[in-house]
Amino acid sequence: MAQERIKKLHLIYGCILSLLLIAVAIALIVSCLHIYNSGDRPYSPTSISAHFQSVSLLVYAAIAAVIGGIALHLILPLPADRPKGVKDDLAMLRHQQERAGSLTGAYAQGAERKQKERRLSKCICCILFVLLMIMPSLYFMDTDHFSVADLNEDVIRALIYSLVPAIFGLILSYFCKLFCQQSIRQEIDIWKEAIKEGCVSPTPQTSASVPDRRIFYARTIIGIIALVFIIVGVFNGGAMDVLLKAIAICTECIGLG
Amino acid sequence: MENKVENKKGFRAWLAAHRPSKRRIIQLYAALLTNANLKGFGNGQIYQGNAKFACAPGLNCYSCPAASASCPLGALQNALAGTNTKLPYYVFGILMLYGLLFGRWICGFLCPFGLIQDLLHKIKTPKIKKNRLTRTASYFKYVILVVMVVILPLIYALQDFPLPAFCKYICPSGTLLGAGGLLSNESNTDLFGMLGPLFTWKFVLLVVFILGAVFIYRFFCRFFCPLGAIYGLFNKISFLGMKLDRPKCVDCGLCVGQCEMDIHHVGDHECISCGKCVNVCPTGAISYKGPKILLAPNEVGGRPNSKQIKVDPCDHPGTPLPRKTKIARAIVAASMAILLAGGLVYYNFIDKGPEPVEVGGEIGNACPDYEMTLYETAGTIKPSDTRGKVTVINFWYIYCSACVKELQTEFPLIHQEYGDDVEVIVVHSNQEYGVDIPEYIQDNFPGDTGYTHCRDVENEAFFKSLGGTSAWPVTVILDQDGVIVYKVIGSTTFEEMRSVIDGLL
Repeated sequence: MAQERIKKLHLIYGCILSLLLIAVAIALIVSCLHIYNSGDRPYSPTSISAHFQSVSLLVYAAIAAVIGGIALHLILPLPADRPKGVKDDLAMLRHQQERAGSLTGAYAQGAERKQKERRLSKCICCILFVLLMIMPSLYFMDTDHFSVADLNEDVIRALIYSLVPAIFGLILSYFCKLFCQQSIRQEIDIWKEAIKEGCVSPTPQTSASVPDRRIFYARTIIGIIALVFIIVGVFNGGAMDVLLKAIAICTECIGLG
Repeated sequence: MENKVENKKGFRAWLAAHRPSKRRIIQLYAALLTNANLKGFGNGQIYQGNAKFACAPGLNCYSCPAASASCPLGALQNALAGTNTKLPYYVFGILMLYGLLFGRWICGFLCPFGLIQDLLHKIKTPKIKKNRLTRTASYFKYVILVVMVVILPLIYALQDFPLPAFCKYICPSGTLLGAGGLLSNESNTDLFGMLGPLFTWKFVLLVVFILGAVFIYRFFCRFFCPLGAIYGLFNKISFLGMKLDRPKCVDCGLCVGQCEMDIHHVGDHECISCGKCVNVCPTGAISYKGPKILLAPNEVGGRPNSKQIKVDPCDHPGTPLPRKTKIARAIVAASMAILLAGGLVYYNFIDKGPEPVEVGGEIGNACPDYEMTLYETAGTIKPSDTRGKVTVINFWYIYCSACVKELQTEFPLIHQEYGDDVEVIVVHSNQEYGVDIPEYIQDNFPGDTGYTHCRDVENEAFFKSLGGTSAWPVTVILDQDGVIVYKVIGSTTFEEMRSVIDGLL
């Protein structure tokens, strides 16, 4: 019972704090927009302080609530939840294949059908995705669309419209992924049935050194390329460019235009 | 195996349960080392020393006053923006090296902005757990990487206009650490004049990211950070990170369930190697890969219990370490402490930065009269040489894209409108770093612009005497008697200058 009360207390506190923090965020955003819309240029520390004065009480209340929450958790700690398992279907399938061996008979055909389904859906998805990316690519390749020397409203609007086919492509990829997940689950069920019926023939364990070797080669190649790039970059002035840019305030990066 | 936390009683138990984990200590260490120039917060200036050749591994804006190294993402965008002149080998090499050595271990241990999000997430509100939607949304950072970090800077580079799109329109580190650090200092009140729609947008975005981080674990890292997207590509082959011992794995899924990132399996491209999965694994199949000196490979000591608030493998509640490893760890810890102490001493006491210059160039004062060397002809020029005429003096820097833009679009209009009645003196920083400025001027400001190009005096004294720090451009207008009537830090427009000049003529 005591645990239940503590949980309830924490929940109530959490909800109040959440509302307070959201209110603070909204107040800050509204104040910022109000400063911008007031047209009171150029800004100064005093004018900005005056605008944010109204929000300060809310901010102090939020800070006090956060400190109060820390005290609450120290005095009445919430018990940690037991972790729950979340299974990854593809990993499970691979484990089945590694441990059990290979399927025989109708089960093998069923599993192969599922694999073909997934391969086909991925191919179709890739082809459609490439087709949908043609329009955004053409848009990006035409530099006249970016002839205005900054990202203004018109450019951003046109950019978003040009990316609509790409967004459809991403949605398509998502559904393809869902389909593949479903197919993997069905294949896992086939494996489980096959193991129950004894329709599996064990295969010799593959050496773990094969994937290790691939990783070793990848590391070696990438490491060499990285070092070569750094050396070339130092000699062609790339390192100097990094320094020269970094020692001046990037007013754009910090929002000063 | 005994649990050391359970055996302690009272205050000692509380202390043992609440002391910072080793991961948190490493995060704080990295944040302090990356921002070792603490005096920058005091004097309101950024570090301008040679250490900024190097890129910090995490997201840390180099316009932050305390930043001791460059930001890899900013460097990448600027390098891509300059691909019309040279290919960005150096930055690519740095990113590949960091990715190969650390992968997203950087996100979990070395990134200052990641630390800020971890601390914000500790605020005790109800949390939004990961689900299928967040897993899908985690791929959005790759879209940001491709569009904002790669494509847009490249496209604008083809038009000779550098645009670090992610830094300019999205990066919260720049707004919080850069703008926050600079604007909070009294000596930078002039920068307030540059605030406008861009800052409004970035401030709103920053508030959203901070609020998001309170409710959603690593809100920015999971959905928006292109640096995490880059490092994630190297996670499988990186030297540091998490590894799974497949024969021991029983597919219970507790690791994925315990993880707050959107992983499919341990060590994939979303894994930031925080190690929370290590203690929940019932078979001890998960461990850190890499050298044992800093973090032991597998320190699982049975299942976590409800009293064990800290489930950090770096606290190794399990098997005691061999003596050699303990000694090696002590040596490494001491070296790192010396490195940090040395860095703090160097940045804050030894490297004092350029000599301070007395600032007198305010509106209403006579303009300081420094003699500057001309670029295009032999000789010098001083502001007093143009007495009797209205004089516009613009301070610029070759790597300041806003400076170059206004010198190409706004300032030529002055000569077109007023001819020889107005003198335009364009002053470049005396820091040239081997760049051929006259050649640059010839290539980028061709035609009859009416500019008198010259180089600032030593220590950028003229620029600093007018209140300039390390933010360009600065424009000053003098009346016929050499008195300053207009001064602006940041970009200006011809219309604004015309309203001043018309009043003087």
